[in-house]
Amino acid sequence: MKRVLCVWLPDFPIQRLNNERPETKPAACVLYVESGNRAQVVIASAEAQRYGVRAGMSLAESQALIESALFLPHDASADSRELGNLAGLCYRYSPFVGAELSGETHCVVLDISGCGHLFGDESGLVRKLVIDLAERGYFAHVAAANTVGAAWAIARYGHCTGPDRRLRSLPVEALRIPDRLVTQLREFDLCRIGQLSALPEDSLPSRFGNLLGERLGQLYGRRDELIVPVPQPKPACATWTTEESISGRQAIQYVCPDLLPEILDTLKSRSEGLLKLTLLLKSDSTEPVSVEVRLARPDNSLPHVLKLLELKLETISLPERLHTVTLEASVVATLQTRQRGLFAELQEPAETNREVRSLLERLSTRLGEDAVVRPHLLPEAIPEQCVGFSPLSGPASQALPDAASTMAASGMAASGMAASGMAASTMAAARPLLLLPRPEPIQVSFDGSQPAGFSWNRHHYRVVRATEAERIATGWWQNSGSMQRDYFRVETSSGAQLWLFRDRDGQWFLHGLFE
Amino acid sequence: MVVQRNPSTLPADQLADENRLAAILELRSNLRSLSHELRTEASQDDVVSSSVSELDAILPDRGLLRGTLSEWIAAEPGGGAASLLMRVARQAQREGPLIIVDRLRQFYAPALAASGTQLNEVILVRPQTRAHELWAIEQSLKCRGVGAVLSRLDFLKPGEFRRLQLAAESGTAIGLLLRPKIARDQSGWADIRLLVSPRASPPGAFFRRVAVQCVYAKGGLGDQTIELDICDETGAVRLAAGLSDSATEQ
Repeated sequence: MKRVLCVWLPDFPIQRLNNERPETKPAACVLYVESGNRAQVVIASAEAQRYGVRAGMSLAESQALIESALFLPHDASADSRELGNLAGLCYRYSPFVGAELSGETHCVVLDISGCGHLFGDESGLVRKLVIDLAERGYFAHVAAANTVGAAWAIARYGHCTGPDRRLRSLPVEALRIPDRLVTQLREFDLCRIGQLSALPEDSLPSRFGNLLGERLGQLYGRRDELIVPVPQPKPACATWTTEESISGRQAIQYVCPDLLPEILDTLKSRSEGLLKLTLLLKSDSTEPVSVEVRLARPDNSLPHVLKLLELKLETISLPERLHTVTLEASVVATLQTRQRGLFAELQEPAETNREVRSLLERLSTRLGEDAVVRPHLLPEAIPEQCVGFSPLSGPASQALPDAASTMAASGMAASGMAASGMAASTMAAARPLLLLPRPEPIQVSFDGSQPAGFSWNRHHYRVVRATEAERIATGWWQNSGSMQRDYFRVETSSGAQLWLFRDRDGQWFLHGLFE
Repeated sequence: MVVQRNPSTLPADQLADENRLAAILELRSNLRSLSHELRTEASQDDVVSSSVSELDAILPDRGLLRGTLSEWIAAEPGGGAASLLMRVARQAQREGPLIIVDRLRQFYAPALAASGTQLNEVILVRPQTRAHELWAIEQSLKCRGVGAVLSRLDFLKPGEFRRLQLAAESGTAIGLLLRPKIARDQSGWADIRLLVSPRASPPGAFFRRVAVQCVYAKGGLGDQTIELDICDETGAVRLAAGLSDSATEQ
């Protein structure tokens, strides 16, 4: 089922002005537009309206009503830009976002079909969106419905219908029709949508034109209505070019601190943080070189990102004769802000977590993403294949599998290892703490069917005790093919314990140390 | 009401007393880094227990101090040093993640989980080169918020060791270095040096026996040895039979 969310921002020009110039918040504001030699009020704040100032009134008249108000020219293009920015913000919640900017209605429309579960449910999505807007200083009326018309009508007029929120109880203005048509309907005492719906649909075009029927059809979903998407904001990017080519790491390190603040400022204005930064180096002599820096969580701290960039540049060979250096915020995400606590000691865990995260980003940047990982268990029989590794940089790190759940999913015998000390200890007895990356072949002597001694690493070990064989086998359908190993935990005469196995061909290997 | 006094108006003998007191406090703070008695007095809360009371008993602080290094020398491969060491790491995880710098890629996650270590609080760092390995250990030790840093290091130059020790002092983690037998002959900057040697288990026993010798302990009595039995089935650790007859694992 199609679901549409409409966000109506009441008195949007005033809200935008208050956000841009916080000093105007306490004052009564009147925005006007000049046409010819006449100035006309476009919108007035609630404070000014209390004095009787209304849209459409002449500026002189409004000044006579309230002298102390702030009278400013209305900037419609700034409204349009800001609404576009807010629409860009809404792309976090839906892949289809449209903006409507007509007259007094400033709305953003989102197609949220199938998006609700990503935020828990639809109300979770709405709550998050409202919080996001509030953090930017905007108050909004939000409504979700099955059609654009219904969502718009409820968002715009739903709050003034009293307890009856049904579509038919909404005023005819909620049909998004011109004022002229509204007046015409009211002349026939048609004030509510319910009254219009009761009329034969065929009779409406001849009396009131095609638009009314079309809007009624869109309201009830009898006619399709498309959301015209707002272009998504371009990734923040900064470029430095020179006619005289430069070379050397230091030269780049001088350029980057100049470019990076430009990008971070753009992101800050969008309340976003970097997740991936791409540095593109174009040279006369070689192919362009791309360097990527990934962050575990969105961040826009200049010193931290610069440090990561420096660490990354240390690991690569840079081309000579560079003529263009480009920095681009390839992946960004909403900046997670946290309110400061009242007590310093309660702040400490968050602070230390931030330090650990910063450490992980430094390690990942210099050593590579695959070098800084978190292990988790996999449901595989072969010992070397039953561990998976999740990188700790990039957005994936935020959705790491929980160890206990992974173990449960793996179907291992010790599915409750984390919780059960007894089961955990049993596993400890079965698996060595150190597993050789590749099993090492050894020469084994026997006493009956049990190993009596073996040579490894130019040492001979006498086996005094060995467990029963533990057979680990896989079927032919496995990716790695059929495999069969008989594992023995052996204790040498000196008390050391090692993990040996015999393969299907009778060859012996050392695979681990019970260190 | 606070009355502020100008130091210049104080009597000369009182001023001298205050200067003397300040000098004593400064000297005492300098001594803290050298004197074990004063250092532990100031930081009892920073002690991480090994969870084995007999092992704690031979350590000067009844555990390992945060911001210090400890060497766990394995007398023989497969001798059980790491299984004891993981007990300390497990305790240290309460304060932050365990970072294992594993250049050889040998630490095995199922056994880590089975030893009681929380896998979702384990971070494996697997550098390619030894230089990167030392850098990663140093960075991890410096970071406040890390519970423990564990690594296997075969050889360490004195300068490298000192760097790691200074890094540990500036952070909150305990540094656990698993080292081969050859490291016993090398000088070191660790506060604690333990030699873990395997012992032959009695016939029919279902536990493994290890001897732990405190070779060196800063500010404590070195050269104390205990023998511990580690039960395969339950993971419990107790003093080897003959010295004690009661289960003593905490």
